[in-house]
Amino acid sequence: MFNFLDEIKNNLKKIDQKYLNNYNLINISGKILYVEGHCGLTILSKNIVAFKIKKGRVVVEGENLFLSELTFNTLKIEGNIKKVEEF
Amino acid sequence: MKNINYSHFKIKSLNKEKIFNRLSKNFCLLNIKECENYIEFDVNGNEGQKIEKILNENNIKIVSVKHNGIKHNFSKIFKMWGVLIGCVLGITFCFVSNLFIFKIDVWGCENLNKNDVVNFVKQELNSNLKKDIETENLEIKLKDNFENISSVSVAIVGQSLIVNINEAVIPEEMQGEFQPLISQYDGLISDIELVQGTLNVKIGDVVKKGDILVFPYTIDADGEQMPVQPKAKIQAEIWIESQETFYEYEIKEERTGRKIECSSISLFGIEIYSNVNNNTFETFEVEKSSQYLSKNILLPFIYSKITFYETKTIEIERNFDDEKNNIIEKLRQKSLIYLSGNEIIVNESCVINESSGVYFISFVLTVEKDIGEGYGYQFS
Repeated sequence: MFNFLDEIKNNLKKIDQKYLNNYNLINISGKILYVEGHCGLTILSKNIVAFKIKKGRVVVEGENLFLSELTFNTLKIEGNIKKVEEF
Repeated sequence: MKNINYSHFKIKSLNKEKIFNRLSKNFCLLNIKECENYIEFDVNGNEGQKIEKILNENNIKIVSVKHNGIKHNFSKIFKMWGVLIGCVLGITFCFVSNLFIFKIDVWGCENLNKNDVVNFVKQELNSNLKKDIETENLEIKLKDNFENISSVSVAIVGQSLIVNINEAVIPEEMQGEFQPLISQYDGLISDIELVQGTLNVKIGDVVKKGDILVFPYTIDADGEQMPVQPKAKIQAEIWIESQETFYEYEIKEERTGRKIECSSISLFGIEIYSNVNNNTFETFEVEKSSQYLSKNILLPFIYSKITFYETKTIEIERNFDDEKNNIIEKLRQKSLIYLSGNEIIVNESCVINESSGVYFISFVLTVEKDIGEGYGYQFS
């Protein structure tokens, strides 16, 4: 199956592929945030959604946030996304 | 993506993230939203029951669970005991009723009395069970017991027993005894042309309706009566009278056009629905009607309606002389209706009597008519 993200990774020859396999994060117009490779939720509220990734943590801030989809390794956040930070 | 079949959960938990992490390992969770006191989320298909089980095992308080979708709604129908019992009873009733006949229909009766046929068939039927009804046997019995039946067929159609009768046409010569020629009107006999039979009247006689005009026999040379079909043309002057009463002063009740309606629906005498409006009219007329809403014998819903029509009293003052000609013409037309077309009008007269403002108008039409025409022979 064609994976758009894998295609981008394959084209980036300069970077070692092993550093590109931690997580994928796509922000669509600040309304939808699609995440691949999360390791579990840590905070779930209307203004903050946080989740673990390999060797770190991502915090999403915004308004009226909710998880429109949650599986074992993907999640989709919808709402007004203001900030996405990695710690 | 949410399926057509999905379950909606509302739960209460302090450590919600932990719960969702655990559930997301095996299930796809959708639309996770945090509300004031609880968290809601959806799951697809049949996963709802598994998730409910896991939540209970982990002592998570489930505020509500709502299963949606065609599959669930369909299965819900089967859990409605009332509907199920109704369906079972309905099917049982249909099955049982299909074994019986409930109605006897008689077709093709013109001279025969339908009720006689129905009563005879009811007597002959041992039971209303379809399998016990021998239609061929019934046909033979009907033909044997009713002389006027030429041919008959009996068939079971649905819950009805159809008796289709062809009545026998008896020729004139084979009919019973000859009947006398009888006067059909009151009148004064003006002309007689006897063809056969014995006359009972002469010119100038006044006859009443039902009087014998010609006897159905002739007397031969030996003085014996020979039965014959009486035939004669007997002309008589008959009087056709129309009357009317005219009041110069009259009080009438008339509807104003305003009305108030009350309706109700009842079942077995118990009122189920009613729409009652207060009658505010001082003077009124009442019309009541009731009818079955359907032909369903199981649930005989009766729709009853009461209508109050407002009325008012009006006084009418008229002058007889102004109306006189119109009344006479109206009475004349009324009298002419009774003419069949071949009568000759001999005279017209009008009598008016007056008593304290009340007029009695009588219009008499004198016509010449064959009073015994077509009634010389009858089947007995």
